[in-house]
Amino acid sequence: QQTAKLSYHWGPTHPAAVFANKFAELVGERSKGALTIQVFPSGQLFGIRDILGGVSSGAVEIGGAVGVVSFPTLNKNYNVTNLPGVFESFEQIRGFFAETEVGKAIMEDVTSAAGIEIIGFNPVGPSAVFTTRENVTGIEGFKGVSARVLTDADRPRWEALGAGRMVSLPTGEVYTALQNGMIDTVATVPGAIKGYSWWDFLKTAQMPYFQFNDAYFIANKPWLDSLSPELRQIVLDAAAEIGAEATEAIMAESDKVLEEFAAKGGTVVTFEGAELEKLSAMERNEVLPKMLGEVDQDVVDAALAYVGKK
Amino acid sequence: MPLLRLYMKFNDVLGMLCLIVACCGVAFAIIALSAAALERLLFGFGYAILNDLPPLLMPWVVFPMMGVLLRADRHVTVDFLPHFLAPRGRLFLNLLLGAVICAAAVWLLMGGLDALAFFRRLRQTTETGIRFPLWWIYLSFPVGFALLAWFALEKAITALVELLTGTPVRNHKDGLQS
Amino acid sequence: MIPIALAFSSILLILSVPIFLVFGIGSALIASVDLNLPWATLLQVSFAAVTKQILLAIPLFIFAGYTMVKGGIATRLVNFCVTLVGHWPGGLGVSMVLAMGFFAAFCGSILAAITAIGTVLMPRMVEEGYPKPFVVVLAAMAALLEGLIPPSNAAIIYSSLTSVPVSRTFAAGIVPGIVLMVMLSAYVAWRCRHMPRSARASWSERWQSFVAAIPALLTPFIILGGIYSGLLTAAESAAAAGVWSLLIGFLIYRELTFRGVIEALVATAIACSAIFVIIGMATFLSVVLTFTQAPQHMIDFLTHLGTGPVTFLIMVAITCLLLGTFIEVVPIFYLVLPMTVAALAPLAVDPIHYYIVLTAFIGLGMLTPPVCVGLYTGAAVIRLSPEKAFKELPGFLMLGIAYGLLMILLPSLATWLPGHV
Ligand code: NA
Ligand code: NA
Repeated sequence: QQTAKLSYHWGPTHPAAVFANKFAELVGERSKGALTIQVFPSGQLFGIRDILGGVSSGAVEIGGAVGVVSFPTLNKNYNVTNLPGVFESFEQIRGFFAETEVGKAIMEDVTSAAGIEIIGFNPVGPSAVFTTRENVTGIEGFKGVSARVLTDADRPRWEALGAGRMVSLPTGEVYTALQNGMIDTVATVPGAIKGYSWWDFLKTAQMPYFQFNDAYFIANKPWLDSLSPELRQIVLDAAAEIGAEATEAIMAESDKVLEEFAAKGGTVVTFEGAELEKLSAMERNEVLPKMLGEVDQDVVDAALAYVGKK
Repeated sequence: MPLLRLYMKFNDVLGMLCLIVACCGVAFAIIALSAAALERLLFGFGYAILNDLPPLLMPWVVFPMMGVLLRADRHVTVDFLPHFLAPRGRLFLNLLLGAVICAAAVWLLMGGLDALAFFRRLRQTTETGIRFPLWWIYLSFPVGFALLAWFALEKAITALVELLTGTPVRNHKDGLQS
Repeated sequence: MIPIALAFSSILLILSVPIFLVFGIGSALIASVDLNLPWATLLQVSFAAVTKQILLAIPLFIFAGYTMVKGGIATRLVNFCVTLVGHWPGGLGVSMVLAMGFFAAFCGSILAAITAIGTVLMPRMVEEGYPKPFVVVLAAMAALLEGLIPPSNAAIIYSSLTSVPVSRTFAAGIVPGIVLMVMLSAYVAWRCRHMPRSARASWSERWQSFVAAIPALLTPFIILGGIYSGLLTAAESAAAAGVWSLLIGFLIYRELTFRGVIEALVATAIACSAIFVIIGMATFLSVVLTFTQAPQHMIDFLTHLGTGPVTFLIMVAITCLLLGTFIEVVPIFYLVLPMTVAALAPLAVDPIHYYIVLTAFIGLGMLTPPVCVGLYTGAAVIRLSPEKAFKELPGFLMLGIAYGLLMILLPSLATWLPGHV
């Protein structure tokens, strides 16, 4: 009869929260109550930036961690997942970290520094660009936008698009900022425009998705090692199963949100042909070089080689 | 007595140092945020560092000030009991208080050092424009608790000396302009 | 351990151990002994609380307030208010309410408001025959406006503890603030109806005092205009208010000195540390509350009782009044909010409405002895022994409670304006 705590920052309606809860239930069922996972949602225990420390210190046994928020603070090369025009799916990102020597080394560094183990995936979703402007059909349409930046890594993209200003804003302030015009453009996952009601003001979604934000079930390693082999296997299996289900669901869910967005009067513009080529050229020639400072060259090369773009 | 005077003079300087650090932090926040707003209106780049660094420095503004606040007696307590006590009783209370706070602060200090060791092992860095280890900020906790213990000890010592000698050690003006 | 920690904390509180330490020790005992939590967790959560971007607005608004104290703004403001309403029954008292209301729209410091307006107006009121205790309690009560009228620390703290954007909590306080000004003015006018009245100011005097006060009166437009036009974030608008008050003090009124700025900076550093150490240590308590799932138990209990929104709000109001007797404003927010905020959705209480009710009742704690900073500060301005002012308390407290009940029963006073900005 053991209990473990699972903490994540997502609000109750976020798909990642739903799957985290499912995982907790599944472990309880399969272990027939030998291991109960108590869930602390909505950042009650640890916020998005704190969960790594929370699991690492053993305050909670399992956490939901967003890769680009938690891992670059331990190894900046995790930012390779943010490079424009490199990875085009969650599978590619995960494959890079699982199969290449360079990728494995990054994950090994992160997990050993924090004393954690990654037991499964629980992705946040793919990112697109959303703006309050209407009829944006090409990259010229973004000239002079006021864009929200979350980290410095967002900057080169907005600069290349010719943004008029960039505002560093916490998520809680974005709704009002869109309302009063402090910002008019955000890059985010579709779930966020619905979850935070930002779509009250946003008019256009620009596709294709340009980034895939993975999140992870992370577990405290000493705790995981202290479990009996059977329990440990139950936890790992449950995390793997839920992870697969979550990944499939998040892409479908994101597309569904975009449909709802369109039904509410928004426009989903998917760049194709010449416009897509212009966008890709911009990413390659303007955004990528500026982001190279964030990631070591050999990591960039390995990633490009892995996805066959070198 | 000259030794005592030297000891308290040293504490005055120490308290003043904490205050100067805090003032610099506040001044930096004002300048950085005004600059951030102005820069964004004029040029639009919106440097995250101007917005993100000032809040990150707040622990260094705040925690070293715990001891100074204790010294200055700045409405941070429930002043209830002192009203019912005779001057001598108040001295006893101060002695007890100094000792209790000192012990509590030492306990918190040990906890703070324990946590600091953890954060050094974790070696997380900031995400702002300039990267630095987060434990630089976490260091403000143990430093703050140590200063609190130190100033609590002073409170106990001065109360003890006053009890023994019967003369006020100082005119309780504690080196802070109000 | 929990009962032991509670008893131990109470003893520390009575011994007059600083409140931040009482929070810290009591919670850390439970966390490390009962919950077996690593110290890293306490520090991590405290760090996250203290470094919240939005909270940075607190020191910046306090600095703006203290700079205005040093920069000659208060005198102009008071003159303007006195020429406007000084001839009314209880005219100087009503001027105090009005001037406090204006000053509240400049800054985020209750003590700066009492010091600034009080220093100019309180001696004058005493000279004209207003009883000292009445003057002191009025000044302390008028400072309650500071918590309601934006910018306010209460709004900033509420926003940092909930997901309500600060622009909404700011907007929420405006109508309730004006209602309080009206109720206070009416009470003062009635209480002081037999007092000698000042002569009615001529229109040219009014014009002159208005012109002199214009730079000061522009401040709220800079702060709120900056936020609602989308040009500034809340913290930036606080910084802008500070810069603006430096400009007025140095260039327009020319009463501000370099020494004055340093003194304002020192006062800010002290006032803001006093608030932030409480925030930093109160989060130790919130860690304990979350890990023990105490709020969840309380919500289950309330649902079990079948409590409705009004009953809930009255229960919270009574709790705040009781706590407010012994504890300061900021720690009460950190005690009460984490416990109750999850109950708002199930009980269908609008978070904006809840903010106003909390602020009204917690603000009354500034008046209730023995811990009543507002009253002590007011008494210090005219060097009255605070105990002498206590006899004026019942009338004002009754008014305050009536006001709070009004806020409970009329949620639209709080929610109407935020819905329209
Ligand atoms: Na205010
Ligand atoms: Na009180």
